[in-house]
Amino acid sequence: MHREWFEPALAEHLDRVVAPDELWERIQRPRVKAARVPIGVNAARLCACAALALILWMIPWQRGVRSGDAAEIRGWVRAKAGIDVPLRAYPAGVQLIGANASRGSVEIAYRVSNRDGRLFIGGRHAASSGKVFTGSIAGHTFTLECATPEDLRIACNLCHIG
Amino acid sequence: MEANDREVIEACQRGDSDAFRVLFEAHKDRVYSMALRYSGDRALAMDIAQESFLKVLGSIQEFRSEACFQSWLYRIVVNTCLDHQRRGRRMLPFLGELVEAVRAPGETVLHRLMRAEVEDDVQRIVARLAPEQRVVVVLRYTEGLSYEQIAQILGCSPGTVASRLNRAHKVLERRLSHLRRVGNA
Repeated sequence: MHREWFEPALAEHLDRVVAPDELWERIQRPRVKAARVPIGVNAARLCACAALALILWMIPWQRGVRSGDAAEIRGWVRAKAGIDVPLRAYPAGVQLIGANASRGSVEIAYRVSNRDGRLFIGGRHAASSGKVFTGSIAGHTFTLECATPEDLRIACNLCHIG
Repeated sequence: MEANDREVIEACQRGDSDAFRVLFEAHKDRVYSMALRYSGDRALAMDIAQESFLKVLGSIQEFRSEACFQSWLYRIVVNTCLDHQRRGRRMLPFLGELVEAVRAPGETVLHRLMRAEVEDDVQRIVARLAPEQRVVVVLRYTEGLSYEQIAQILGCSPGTVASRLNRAHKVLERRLSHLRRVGNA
């Protein structure tokens, strides 16, 4: 019953086509086809990449210390970088977060009024501005960065008394 | 097999690259069409056709001159199609058909697009058939082979071919019923 319309339709739409000229080129120079990777393998690769990215993201702090204790941070920096940063035990208005050392420089993280700031010692030299102050400490260049000029003034308490 | 074909094949067996080009030109459309109608994907069809011809080139020494070259070639293409299926390669319709249709001369763009859409529909639905049914459909409708010829290529009985084709027809008829409505309108 279906033959009236069905087989001609198939014959019409499944008829022979002309092969592209490129086919001969392909046969003369067979290219290596990339094997199709199963979805599961791709998912596993994606997870591995995500894990690697997470690890890389965490590396700076794996090389560092997280602490609000000035003495602990000072001791850690001295041990890791050989630099004695005269951090005050209780810097007014400043909350220490931690430190890390990499490529001959030290970074000490802190917070002023819940805003992040950084103290860089060695390896980083920035011109002073309203939010950045560059100076010298124990023979090392340091840079103090804050979110606002007011924070910068308070951040001086890390090492100095107001 | 005609004497000319036999000479070409014998030249191929001696490693004559010009003869292989002649063989390729004679069968390229057949091989590519089967691959395209089976896979429903131009890129995949190129892979299958390429692989088929490389298999021909690699095993032409094993071909016995008393056999039918065309059947031998069909078997290689069918096996390559099935190998690709087994490897889990994507067998889906292609957008290129639409692009091709727009480029086709002598028709209005609307007509070309409509025809391409129907063709795409048919091909997509054929590409969803079970591999053993799809092979039979391609050999029957793309190559126009008889049940006996298909049976010879697939190494089964004509009854098995008829049975597979019948099952394929039922599926295709159901899935392509909208074409009938369009045709009747």
